[in-house]
Amino acid sequence: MTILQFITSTPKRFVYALIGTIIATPLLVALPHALTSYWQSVLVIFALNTIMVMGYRVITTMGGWSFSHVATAGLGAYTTAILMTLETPWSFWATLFLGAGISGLFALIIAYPVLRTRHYYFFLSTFAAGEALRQAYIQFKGITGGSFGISFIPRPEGFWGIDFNTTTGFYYLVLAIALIIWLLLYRFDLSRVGRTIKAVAANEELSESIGINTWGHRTLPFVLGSVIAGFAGALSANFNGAINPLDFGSILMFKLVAAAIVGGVSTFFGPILGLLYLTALEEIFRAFAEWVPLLWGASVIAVLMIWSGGLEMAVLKLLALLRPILFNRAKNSSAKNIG
Amino acid sequence: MTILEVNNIAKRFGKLVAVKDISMAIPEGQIRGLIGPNGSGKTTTFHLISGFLKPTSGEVLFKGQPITGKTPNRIAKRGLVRTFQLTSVYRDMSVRQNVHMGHHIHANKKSAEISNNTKLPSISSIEDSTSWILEHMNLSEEADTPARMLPAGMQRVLSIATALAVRPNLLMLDEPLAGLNPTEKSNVAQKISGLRDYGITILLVEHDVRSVLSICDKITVINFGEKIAEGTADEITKHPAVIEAYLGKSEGHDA
Repeated sequence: MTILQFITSTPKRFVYALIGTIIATPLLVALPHALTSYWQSVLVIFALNTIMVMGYRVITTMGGWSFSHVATAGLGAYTTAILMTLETPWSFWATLFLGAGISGLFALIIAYPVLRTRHYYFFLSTFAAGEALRQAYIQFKGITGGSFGISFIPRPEGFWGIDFNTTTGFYYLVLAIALIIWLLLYRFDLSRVGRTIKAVAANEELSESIGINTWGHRTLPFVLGSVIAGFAGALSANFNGAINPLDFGSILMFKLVAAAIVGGVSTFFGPILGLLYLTALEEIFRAFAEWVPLLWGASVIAVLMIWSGGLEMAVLKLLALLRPILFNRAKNSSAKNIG
Repeated sequence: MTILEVNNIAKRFGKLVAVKDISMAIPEGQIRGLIGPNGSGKTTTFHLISGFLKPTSGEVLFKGQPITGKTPNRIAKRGLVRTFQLTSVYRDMSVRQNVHMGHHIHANKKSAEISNNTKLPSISSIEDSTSWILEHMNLSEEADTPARMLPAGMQRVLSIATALAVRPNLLMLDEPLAGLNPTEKSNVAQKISGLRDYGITILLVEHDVRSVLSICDKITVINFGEKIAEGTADEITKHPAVIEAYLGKSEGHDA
């Protein structure tokens, strides 16, 4: 396939997304300069969690809600943490990709048992796999530092005059990686393989009977989502400078699942929207931090009970309402005149 | 030429014997019916042939090649496609998207003509092939309707259209007439008979014996996981074992 063919075969929605990204990038670059250092940290953590949740959405497209995502991300974090604190430390970039690869490899291995299960059983089996992994972080003290974890993880060396030791500098690193991942995943979501994955989720038996390798189309998103989680994990280890097994426990996992439920998963943006909502809630009620999980839980229940489809559906409905106003104003007004 | 040969397949689930011993051979171009009372092992036999279940013993040959124990998607790629009784459409996709999805195995060789060993015309693109199938299955008008909005009869036609997109040599239909009203039944039956013109061999499972008799060239009757009779509609309706299986023994034995 030539480059020209690839460009012409690109779905329109991706072209719009690309243009939107190019327009938004200067704003995202300028954003930390308008914030206090506290909000800069919130921004970096939000960007890291956005990478996590984008990976999580890939997994949900195959119909399964994994509960091992955060523990899998831990593999990326531990890989970076261990290799960068050696006496002769590895380069950050090598550990980043190796960590993501190890997360993917773990997903590939557990795919064989867990992808045999569906629905609640998938949720439970991935929960078990994730807990087993987290126990491994605690038990293999010689490598992982046990429950104390690993400290003094350095940040990568900067370039182009950006110092990654500052929050803003590190934010640029995370932002660049998040934008690349977002474009790649969005293109993947719109691709033929992406559509086939959703078809398999919609009707596995039918898909198998028309010659689709359903096993492959379930394994691929599970592994891909886990690789993305590995990237997020590795970056978070560098950002925090220290990791311990608690960082990869159920609290963050619940936040991701809640983001996916509150935002909805039928569009690419749903989980990110959900994450934005949960983060906003967390920051608004920071003074009552112990009540935040309650508010998250209430939001999840509210969406499940009365507003199925989540925030993304609200946005889509709003866009549908605005579309005639924004794009067909002439048509609309002439129709009014006739009326 | 024999397109499908089933040799002594059996399936046991623990102590339960679902299929005891079934053999049959289907020549190319035939419409074969597989009938039997409830619980006789029809659906299990179907699953065993199409790869959704692995037989405990016995073998299945398709176009002379063994396909026993292969995954259904590999069997489909060889040209044996099956439909399901109730779940044979993507409910949230439009009719066109359903048929388009049926071309999955042809999508990687976009530039070449869609490979063809049936008498369906060679068509160069998936879009054209989709349109052709929609037109010939009388679904063009509903092309943009979500599949879940279609009446049951049309959903059944759509499931056949989707299967047709794979370009199968042997199409296995699981109770294609079940739950349809008489008009829908005759419409679907007509569509099935029409597939013969494209050189497609058909094996259909049906509970409703009467509707099957008119469209099948030959019928295989099974009961308790064993073949009890095989022949034309006339031969079958007179066969004592078949009458016994469906109506019970004549000498005061009422079940």
